[in-house]
Amino acid sequence: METVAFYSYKGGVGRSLLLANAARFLATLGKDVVALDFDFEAPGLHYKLGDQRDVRSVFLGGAVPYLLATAEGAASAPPLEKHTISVAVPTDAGGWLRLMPAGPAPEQTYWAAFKELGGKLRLGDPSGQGFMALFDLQARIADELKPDYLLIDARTGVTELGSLATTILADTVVCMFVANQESLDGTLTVVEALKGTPRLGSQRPIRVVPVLSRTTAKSPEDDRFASGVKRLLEFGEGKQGQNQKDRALFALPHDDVLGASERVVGGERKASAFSPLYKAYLELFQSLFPSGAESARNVLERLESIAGIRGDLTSERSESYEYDDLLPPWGASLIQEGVLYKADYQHRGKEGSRYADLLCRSEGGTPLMVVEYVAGDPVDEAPEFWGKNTKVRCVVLVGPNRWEHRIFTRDVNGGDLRRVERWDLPRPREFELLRDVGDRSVESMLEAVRHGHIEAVAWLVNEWRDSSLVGDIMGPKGPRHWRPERAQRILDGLAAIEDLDCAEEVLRRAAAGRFDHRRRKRRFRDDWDFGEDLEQKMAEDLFAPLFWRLPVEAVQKSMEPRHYPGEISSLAGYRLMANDLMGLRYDPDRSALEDARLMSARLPASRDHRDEGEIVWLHRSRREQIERVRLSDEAPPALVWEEMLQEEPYRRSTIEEANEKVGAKVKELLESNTSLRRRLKEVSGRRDLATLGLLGSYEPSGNIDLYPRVITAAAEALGIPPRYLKSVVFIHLSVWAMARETYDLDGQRGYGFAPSPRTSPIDRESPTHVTLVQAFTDRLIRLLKDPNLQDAFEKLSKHQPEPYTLWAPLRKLPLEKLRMLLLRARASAAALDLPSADDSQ
Amino acid sequence: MSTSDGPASWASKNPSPPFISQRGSRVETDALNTLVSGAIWRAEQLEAHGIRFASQAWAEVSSLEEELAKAFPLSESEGRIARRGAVRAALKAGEYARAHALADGYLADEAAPRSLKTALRKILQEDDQAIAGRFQHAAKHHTLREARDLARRFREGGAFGLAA
Repeated sequence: METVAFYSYKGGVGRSLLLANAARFLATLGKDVVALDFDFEAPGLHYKLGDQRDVRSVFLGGAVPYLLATAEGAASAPPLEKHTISVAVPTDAGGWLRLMPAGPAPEQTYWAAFKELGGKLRLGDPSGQGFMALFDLQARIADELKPDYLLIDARTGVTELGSLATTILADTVVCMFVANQESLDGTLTVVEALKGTPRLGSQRPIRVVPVLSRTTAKSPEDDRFASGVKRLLEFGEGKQGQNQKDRALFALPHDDVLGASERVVGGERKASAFSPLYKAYLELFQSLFPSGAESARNVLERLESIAGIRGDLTSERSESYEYDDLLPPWGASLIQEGVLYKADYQHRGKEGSRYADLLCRSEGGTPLMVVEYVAGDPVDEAPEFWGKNTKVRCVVLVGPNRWEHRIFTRDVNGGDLRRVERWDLPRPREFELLRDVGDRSVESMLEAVRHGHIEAVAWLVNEWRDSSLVGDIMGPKGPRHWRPERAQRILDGLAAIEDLDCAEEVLRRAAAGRFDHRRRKRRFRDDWDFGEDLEQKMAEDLFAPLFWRLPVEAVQKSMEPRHYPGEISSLAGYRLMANDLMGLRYDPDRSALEDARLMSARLPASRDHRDEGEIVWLHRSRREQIERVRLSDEAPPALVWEEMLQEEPYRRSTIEEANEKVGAKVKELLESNTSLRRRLKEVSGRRDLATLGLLGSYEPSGNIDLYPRVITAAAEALGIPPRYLKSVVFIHLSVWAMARETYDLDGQRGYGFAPSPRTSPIDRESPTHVTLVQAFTDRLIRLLKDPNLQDAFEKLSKHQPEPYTLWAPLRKLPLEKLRMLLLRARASAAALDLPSADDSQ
Repeated sequence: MSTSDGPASWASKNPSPPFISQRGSRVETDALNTLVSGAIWRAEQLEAHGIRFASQAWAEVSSLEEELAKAFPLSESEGRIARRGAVRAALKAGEYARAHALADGYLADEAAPRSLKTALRKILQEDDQAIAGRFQHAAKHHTLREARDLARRFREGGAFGLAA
């Protein structure tokens, strides 16, 4: 039996707490331990180790009653069982812990017994009976209980009992002190005395381990203190540094939580119990209990590793992937610690039970993920065990180095857990997003998006960006490679999104200007200066095509400011059309300013007012940009005129009466899907399905209106998905807008390219203009390489008036030629010499 | 256990020598014998019933025996009996130092017969054995001599030996 006394010259250093932790720690290692409270004047070990209520109300034994009975010369030795209490230890490691408290303190009976003992237990009695009584207690514990360790909580200060517990009974003395000169000087005096005390013949030389407690950053560092510490280390053991000569004091950091609550964590395998103080305890125990040193090291490694993993799981990620930003970490309440799972399962003849250090559950309580520490264990057993006996979808095996963890996952439907290449730990939301959290392939993420999981959008946009980088450039996860086919797969997948929220999210994330300088620096390496170029590339190659391919409703929503009123939406989509295709420049701000100057020139106002007017117009321009596209429930002009012309009474009654009647009829038509579909079928049958005027309209003011009810009915009539027909109409009307609003190299806008105001059925737009618009619509759709749009466009044009069908022969024209025609049309439509329908052959 | 060889028996056979008390009054040894007999009976009764004043009673016995020892010379059996009784009662009283001081004094007397010295040493030895018997577990690991040595050092140097 090894006897370790815990002593402190001054109180309040955490001595009893350290002893309690050491006792519990040793017991969990399978050691048998007796903790003995010799702090008779202020006993409290039973508060830390046992249930103090039991000690006070039920238990009448303890060291004081025991020694009193001995000192009174009891005929037979008092039974130890009545004077010790069994303390529960957290694991079934085979060790036990018994506490011999001082007595039922602070009950009156204890203090009465203690007073009586003072007169009876005369330690200096020349008969030696006082010493024999103490020796006998120690020897009885050794002979009858046979513990591996006896830990004694010695009295503070210079007292008889404190002295005997340390100098006579102990093999090792832990001397605790705090970082002040008074505490150090007193400790030094006692330590010197301890080392000078002669030992009994049967005893080894005394070991002294000084421990600096409750350390903070403000601990004194003056020469006197340092020299005292140095002297202390000459007498006692210290922590070995990296060099053989380097030795330092064992230091226990101040811990507000553990220190205040006096919670005993020794032997605790739960990561939440891990703290700097607990870590320091374990480092001390490695040295203090050589037989448990390896176990202490293992426990320390395990706890550090699991606590690190737990920290990773419950905190935001430091890496700035937007995908991660959207995935909240695990709530602490979702993580259960220390679950021993027993199963009938056997592996290679071994009984099946495994210890999950962390068990992560869904909000509904379903176990999703196990984190197990497996240092030294055969790795293949763990995933097999968890796979066969539980329904968890992910197993994380972690060793002493938590950065080298291994992740095993399986599909939501079950199957074997397979090792995956994934490195970062899955977040709870990912178990909803993905069928298999180990499969973060493009297809898997696209499937998640198809199910409306918006978080996967950010991942896909990131992956597109990483795949689109030309050349091998180092990224946070290693070198990035240029993978254009993968980028295209992502682009096509994103374009197919039906969910409007996801589609809007795609556009917002793909838009330029997402990264401010700080985020860009975080996202990209300091010496890598491509951030802005990359954003430009994203705007052109990702945002612009998606702007035209994603559902119009999402496009419209994406243009609305989300963070602040003046937020500017990306114009990359319009610029793809205007700049790249039509050879014109789209600059709505410039247009707005020009208009503002024109207006203010007409108004008699001061210069100041003119400046203000320009700003107002600029804001208005931006607002109009946002509100440019509208999905309107109003009646399309073509439909209204058609009704009016069919209305016989129109010719007899007043215009007001006719308008009212026609309005009601058209409204009724629009509200009846069946009637509307029938009407659109009829219109398409006579090839009168005009884009401008019926499916949508573009006003010279810049507004683009789409009539979703009519478009849906037309799409049904044509047998095409409405979303693609809507996009075709949107593109067509946007070509109108660009043809009119953009600048040529002379800085002229296309005022000649005006659609019909539709004030009467006779007012029709120029067929030449329509044909040109269709030609550019076709060019853009071909550029987008979207078969759905292409199909919708072609099917629609077969049911449209002739000018809408002439895009086919115009395909043969070089783009430059088409641009020239457009320039001329912007100036004067009549001057064109366009090919006829026959030329399409 | 009786600590004397029976004061009543020898008192009846011998004439009572005079005994001078502390106040200077002359006391007959017969009276002392009567007192010591009563004290022994009382101490034995207290001890038998586990009453905690037994040690005080034995201290009283030891003092009376010591007085008797002063009154009777070594040549008389009453004197030898009283000396043995004084040491034994002191040990029973837990007054180890006094017992040893008395024994040392009696043993140092050149007139002390060998049988008395043997008896006194046996009394002390029996006491050691009794202590060892009370602390059987301690006795397996440490000797009583060690304990007494520690006690001495402790008396001299105080806690941690800092007062030495």
